[in-house]
Amino acid sequence: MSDFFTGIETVFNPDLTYTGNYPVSVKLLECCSKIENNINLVSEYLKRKYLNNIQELVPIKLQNIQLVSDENLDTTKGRVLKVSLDSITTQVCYNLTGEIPQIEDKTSNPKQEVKDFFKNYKLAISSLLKNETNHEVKNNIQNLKNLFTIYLNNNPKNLQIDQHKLFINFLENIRKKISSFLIWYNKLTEICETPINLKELEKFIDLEKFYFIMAKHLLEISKFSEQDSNSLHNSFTFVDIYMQRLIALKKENNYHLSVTMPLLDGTMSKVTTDSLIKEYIELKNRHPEFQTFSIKRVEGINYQDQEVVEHLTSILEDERNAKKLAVSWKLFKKGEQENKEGNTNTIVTHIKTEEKTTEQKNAELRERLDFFESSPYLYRIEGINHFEGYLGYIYPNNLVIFERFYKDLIHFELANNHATYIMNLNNFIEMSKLSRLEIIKYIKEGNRDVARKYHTSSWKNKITAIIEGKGYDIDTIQTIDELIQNHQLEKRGKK
Amino acid sequence: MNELIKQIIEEQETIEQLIHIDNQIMNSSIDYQTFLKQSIEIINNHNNVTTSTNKPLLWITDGEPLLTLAILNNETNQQTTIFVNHHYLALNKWLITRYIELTNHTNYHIDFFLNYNHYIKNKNNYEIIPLGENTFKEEVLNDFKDEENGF
Repeated sequence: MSDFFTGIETVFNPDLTYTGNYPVSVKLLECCSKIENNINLVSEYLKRKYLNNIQELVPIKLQNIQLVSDENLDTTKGRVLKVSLDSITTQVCYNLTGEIPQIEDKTSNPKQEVKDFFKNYKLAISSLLKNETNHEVKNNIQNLKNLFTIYLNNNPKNLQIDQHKLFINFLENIRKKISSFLIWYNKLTEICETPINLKELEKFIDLEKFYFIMAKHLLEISKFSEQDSNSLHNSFTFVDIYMQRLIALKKENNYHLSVTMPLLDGTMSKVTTDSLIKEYIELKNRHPEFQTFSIKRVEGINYQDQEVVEHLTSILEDERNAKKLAVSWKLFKKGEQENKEGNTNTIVTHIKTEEKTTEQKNAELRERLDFFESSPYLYRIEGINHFEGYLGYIYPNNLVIFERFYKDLIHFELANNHATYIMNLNNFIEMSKLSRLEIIKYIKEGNRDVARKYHTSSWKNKITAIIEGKGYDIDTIQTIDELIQNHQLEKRGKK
Repeated sequence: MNELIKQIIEEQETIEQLIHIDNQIMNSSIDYQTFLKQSIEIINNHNNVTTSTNKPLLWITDGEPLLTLAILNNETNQQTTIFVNHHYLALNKWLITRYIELTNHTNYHIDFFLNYNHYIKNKNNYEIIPLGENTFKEEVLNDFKDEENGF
């Protein structure tokens, strides 16, 4: 698996630029380090080249330093990995004042913002030392007092010393550290803005672990992005490509990897091939709109060139319109429905009472629709073109369940009785590119990856069991066999 | 078949465990006493189904174990497959295992898995007999028709 990509630049400096940044903790990279003579080579390299220099400029002991993968603002080409100045500033500010400054991303003058932040604390310290009241900085004063209380609690021996003298020393110490930090801030910025030499860093990285760990890390980043904007982070492109290869490798060779690594919240977690594949599939199922296409590079072509980009985009649009990528379904998130004007609004009931057939059929149909609508599906799909009249539901366990309720979705005339069909999402996506006749042929050719459930009185129970993911797995079947075999029966009856 | 009822009584503990497994997976709520009572009713109401050909019989049910019992009660020497659509594996397995042990009727076979589309493809090799509710029978026969409206 380490041969599949061209090194750590695949992740941190891909050929195509994408916007947005994301954090990468030093701890994360240490988890994919080569180890020699019990030395973590990544840790040793980063400390030697960057972190020790940074520590000398900072008046507190830094912990859990973050790196950041970001756009290369100097050249606007590719991306860079560098030490996160923001994470250092945050640690220093919090350590010295108990408050985290609200500094905007990509602010034009971060140093001024940090100066303004500390200015209020310097004023607060002056007021406290002169025993004066200053309402403008009363919150800062309170923060400093709280910090002192924590300092006392952490050092019980201090309770025996004159508290007033101790407080004065404490405040003067803070003031010195603030000044020191601001003096060295420019130098600190210079080091942090220098991109980390990826070629050098790569010498100390176990690439197989690196790709696996970064796939998990970027998957977590996308889950975070999903909570915020309901879309995947741009860095998910690498995850998509890597995971498809991982899934193929697992299928062919039963490839397996297990690592313990830090998550975004800092907690250490064991991640296995199976758990990563499961998370990836669940995330992809929630975002079928995200597609990754790999294009072979041709020597001599500048892929940043506007004309080249436009040409490639138009080829992709043609592919999408052609049968190869065509889908026969409209996709709706749970609760949405497109109205006749093509706008999305809350779901409307399909049943038109003036067109119902028999009352009993109508009631059954309504019950079935209500059942699906109240089930925990992720997306609802409505058939178009060849699949008009079909409704389907995509579930978190990767299954697609669909029914033909109507002959079409214009007149809502009920279709004749058809079974419920259950497919795996992977084969459904492939099948949905076929025409209805081709799918029927596929089923009648004896393909077994489509299951049917008929509308009997126990239909609801069976579909519920499928949605909830229960099944007769190998262990259950073995238990059943043991229960049946363990009874010793003397053969009786006809011979 | 009365022997099979005796087995249902003698192996109450085993059957209760099998029912428990099926209930969990099938989201159903069968209980032993009801299963025993209904089994006795089926065995006593013996209704023979006559078949029109000598082809192997393919009984298609929705997997309800009492339907399996009814089919077993319809004893025949013809090759018989009971397709249970991957439902109620535990009870169905017990029924067919005990039935063959008691009767030596090795012409009986139960199909638990996803071979349904295979049967559609080879429908001419079987006499298809759907068993169950009317809507179910209608849908099954729809599947086996030559026209495209099986989907």
